[in-house]
Amino acid sequence: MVAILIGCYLVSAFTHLYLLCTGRSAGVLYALGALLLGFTLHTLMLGASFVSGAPPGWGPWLSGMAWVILLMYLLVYARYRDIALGGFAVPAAFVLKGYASAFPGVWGAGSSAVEGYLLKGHAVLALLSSAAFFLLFASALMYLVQSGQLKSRRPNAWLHRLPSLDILDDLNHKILYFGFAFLTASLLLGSMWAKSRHGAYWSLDPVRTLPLLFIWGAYGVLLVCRLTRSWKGKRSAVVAMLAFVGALLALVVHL
Amino acid sequence: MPVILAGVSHHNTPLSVRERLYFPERRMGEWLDRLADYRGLEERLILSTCNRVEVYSAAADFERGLDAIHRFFLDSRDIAARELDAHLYVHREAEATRHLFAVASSLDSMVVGEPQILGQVKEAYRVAHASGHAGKTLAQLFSRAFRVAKKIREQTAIGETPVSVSSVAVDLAKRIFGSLSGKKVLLLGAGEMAEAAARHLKASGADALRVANRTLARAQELAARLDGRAMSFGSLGEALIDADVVIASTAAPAFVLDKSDVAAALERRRGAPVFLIDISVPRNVAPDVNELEDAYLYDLDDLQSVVADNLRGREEVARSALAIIESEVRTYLARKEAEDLRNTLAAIRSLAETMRRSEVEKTLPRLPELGQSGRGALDAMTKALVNKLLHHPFAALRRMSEGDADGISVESIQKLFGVEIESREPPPDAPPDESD
Repeated sequence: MVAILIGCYLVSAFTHLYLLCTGRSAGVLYALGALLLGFTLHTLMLGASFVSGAPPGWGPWLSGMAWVILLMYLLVYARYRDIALGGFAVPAAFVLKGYASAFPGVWGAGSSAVEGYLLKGHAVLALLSSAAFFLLFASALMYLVQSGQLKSRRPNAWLHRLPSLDILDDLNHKILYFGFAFLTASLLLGSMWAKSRHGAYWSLDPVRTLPLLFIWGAYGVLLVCRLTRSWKGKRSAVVAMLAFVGALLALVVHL
Repeated sequence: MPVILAGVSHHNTPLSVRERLYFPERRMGEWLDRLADYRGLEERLILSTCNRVEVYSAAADFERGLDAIHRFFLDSRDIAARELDAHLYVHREAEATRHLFAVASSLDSMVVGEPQILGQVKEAYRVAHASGHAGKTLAQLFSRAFRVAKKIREQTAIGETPVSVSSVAVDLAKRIFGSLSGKKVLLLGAGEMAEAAARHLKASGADALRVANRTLARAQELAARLDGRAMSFGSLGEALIDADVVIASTAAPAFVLDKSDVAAALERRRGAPVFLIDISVPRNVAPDVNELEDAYLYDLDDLQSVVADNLRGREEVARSALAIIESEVRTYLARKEAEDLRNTLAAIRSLAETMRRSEVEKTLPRLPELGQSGRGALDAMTKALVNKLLHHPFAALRRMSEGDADGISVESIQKLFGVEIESREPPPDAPPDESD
């Protein structure tokens, strides 16, 4: 079952990359068909493991991350009918899912029920925001490439492989909203968990908490600037990409 | 039955000759009827567009068929034999098939990849089919040509890149704004090219057109034509803030817009990008405007080099598409040859059987002493004789159909045995009018 699922993702990932790199349109059905088949299986399996209360481990989390990335991509596709984001989302989901099934390590769970819920909620929200920021990174990258194409005055074939600047900027904007909301909620739950576990909202280890606050601040400033100072386009894309790199580092330190 | 193609095209024939050979589409059925009066053509089709006039035909005898087409051109068109001979190209079978596949796929067009030609070929076939001039041979040939054209369009994306200045402008605008609906266009100057670009943008959904010109009257005139609004040059600064696309084409000797003008407008546009198309010579928009983050400036040279790039791209694609055509021609001809051979062999066998029977029936009355078993033996003996005689040539012919032709054609076999294959049956495939 898992093999079929990963196979579907692999086929879809290759087809997406092929379509993105050649600009062809024949084959979109295969790319999406394989993806939907895999995604359906994935949903069923995640649902089953949720109901049966499978032992906590790294596996389900990474698998969940892959699922969320794909869900977001499918929503984006439904809205914009463009497979370019899939060129990033599907290969990433394939790698995450493949890694998840290869190394289902053990995840330390909280001791009491409340702590467990808080920690789980914290992790689920963190997962949603990470997935969103990954996609934000991808669409910001596409924005920079596309804007560079147009600025160069001699655009090459990538001009037609990537979505328009308008769509990419809109995407950057919306994903940032969701990502930031999830991240904020995740930090709140995380600090509540820390309170019930350690008796303080912020554990005293600055190495674990400061980078997170920094990332939250970075995305927050970006969002505020977009809203109030109409930071659109290139500047916003560059900041979003830097923030994602920072977030990866912060996450490594935090975990 | 072999195909003959004779015609002229933009490649080797000037318009002054093409226009005299042109057959108006409206009365194509009548032209085909007239062509049918010339003996030697089993099936007929005329493809007549502004870039080519071609007659496709199925004819058992090449020389006779060609002569018929030749006389048809001379009799029905205002052209002298010498002039016609100087321009007419003639292809048969493999060459004709290759040519038609390339024409239908728009590889032989003046602007490679242009979409109209396939429709024109389909229409020409429809008329020929409906008026009973296209039979089995042309039906198979054209339905294959339509499939090849479809395949090439799908596999090579030929024809997807814009190849005129105004369509490139629209394409770039779409890469910036996504959809153009609701986008505001500002025209500076009332040049012809600017008007063409504005029309193109409007057709793609842009609206709220404003025209500014030194002389207000001309601005009003153009604005009326484009269903827009005229404005004076004085309020340019305000108009710039609203404009998503600016098309500059004034005759001004100096820059009409410099970096600070556009920067001021962008400041007020809250990050919304502006696309500036400067198609004036000398230029109207200072080139350093392109350094502004949300300004995308293309001058005439930029647009023309994109056009040139795209045309080059199409020609490259066309070269790769030729490989597809080559393999399709080979498959098509091999299949046609095999089918012709099958039919020929069946015809020879039935001819032999008819002869045998008639000879047996002639002989039997002269041998009344032959009993039932004797008659049976005679019948079996003649059958065996025919089979043995045909066995070796048939085996050789079948080998031939597998690629070992040794220079023997199906027609020469038909001539040798005195059989002729009727090709007037209705086409086996559905009439080739696949949708696009």
